Amino acid sequence: MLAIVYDLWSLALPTLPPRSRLYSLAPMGIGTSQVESLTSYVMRLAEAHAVSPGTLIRQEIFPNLPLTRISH
Amino acid sequence: MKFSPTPQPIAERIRAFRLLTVAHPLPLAAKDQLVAAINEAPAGSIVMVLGPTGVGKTTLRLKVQQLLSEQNRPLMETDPSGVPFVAVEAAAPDNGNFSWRDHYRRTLIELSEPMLDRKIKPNWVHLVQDSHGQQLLGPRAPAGELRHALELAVLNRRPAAVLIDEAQHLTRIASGRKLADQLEVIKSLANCTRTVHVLLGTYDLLALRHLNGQLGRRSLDIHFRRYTADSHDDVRMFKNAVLTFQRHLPLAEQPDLLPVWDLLYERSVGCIGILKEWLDRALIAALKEGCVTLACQHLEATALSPSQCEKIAVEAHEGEAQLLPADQVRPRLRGLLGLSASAGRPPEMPPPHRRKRARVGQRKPKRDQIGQAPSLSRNACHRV
Repeated sequence: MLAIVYDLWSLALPTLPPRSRLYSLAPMGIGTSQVESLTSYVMRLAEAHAVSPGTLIRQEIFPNLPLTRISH
Repeated sequence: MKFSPTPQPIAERIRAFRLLTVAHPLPLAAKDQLVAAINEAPAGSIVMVLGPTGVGKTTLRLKVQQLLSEQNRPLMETDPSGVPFVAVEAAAPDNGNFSWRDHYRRTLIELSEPMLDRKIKPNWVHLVQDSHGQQLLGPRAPAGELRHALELAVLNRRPAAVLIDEAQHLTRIASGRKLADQLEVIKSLANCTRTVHVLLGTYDLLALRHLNGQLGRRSLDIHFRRYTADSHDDVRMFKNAVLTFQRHLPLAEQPDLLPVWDLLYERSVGCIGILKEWLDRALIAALKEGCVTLACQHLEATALSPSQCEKIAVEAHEGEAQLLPADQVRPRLRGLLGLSASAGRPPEMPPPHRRKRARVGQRKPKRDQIGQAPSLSRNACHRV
């Protein structure tokens, strides 16, 4: 009987580019004059994430905006 | 790979051996089957990977995850929100009943879902519909918001498969009626997300599969079995696996484990995962004692008890009996379908129960005596 030594398995995952935090929805009508508005896009993005538009803006969009505080 | 006597500290040597995975024939075959099933099964199918405890199902899952990642790498580079797979472990319920809310939450965490605590129920949108356009998910359903969020996440992230490990925990349900509901939840999840769902678990999962024929139609079984001692080939492959582990033990002197292969088989029940964990423990014992090689007493001291092994063996045997090879099931199926003539029916199979329609005026054979019947024919009375 011929004994065989089996190969070893590597289980390490390959490195993939980082995944986006939110789903990358394509704006509707892009490239046409009928392209959807930003308001509409934010509404759809919130709907796709099963959250209200307010939650999306407060928790995800606003903290990431590079805005400086405007003082009068 | 050869280990010299004093290259690494003990902890490092133990860690290296613990991470070692051997590509022996049974998981290789199961891996090919599973990858083919994920790539070729219709969207929304359910694939069940069934095997005894400790056979290496989680290792198989990790390997398949790696392959799916490599296979989908070009897609990942063009689609920033896609993921190659989702893998989650079905948690054992703490109160006796499997919690879907907890399961949805875990899966969403695996998907790095943002705003998890602010999900809303789909009370104004009806995105989840079945083939007849009916809403499958009521807005007031428990954990409805998480279920809805999970469906949207899987639809938008488009994984090649959702892999649920330890899926036998899904069957941990107090009542039989609810067991059928568990099945419906999995089916609708797979259907709504149009994604292949892979359930990896012990033979307890068969309880779900046998519950009705509809899952049977939509599910594919992959039997990831153990090595059995009554097959010459299996014994040869088991010995080769032992030899492979033996070659990679990080000890100054390589032990000869082949003469004790039957002890190794007995206390691992032919499951390579159990064998590997046992060798991990034996190696730690040998290194802690400062031995240069692994001795029989290390193996005996760290083995599972015979009663534990017996329980595993009984469960494995019962499961294997339910997943008989096709050549043994086929005659039974043909018998059930009334096709017994060509394939032959096994003797233990009851004859197929078919209700014959009685024809008006035709006497049942049992009404008439046979053999010693009097010459006066009763039939004559009826033949009017």
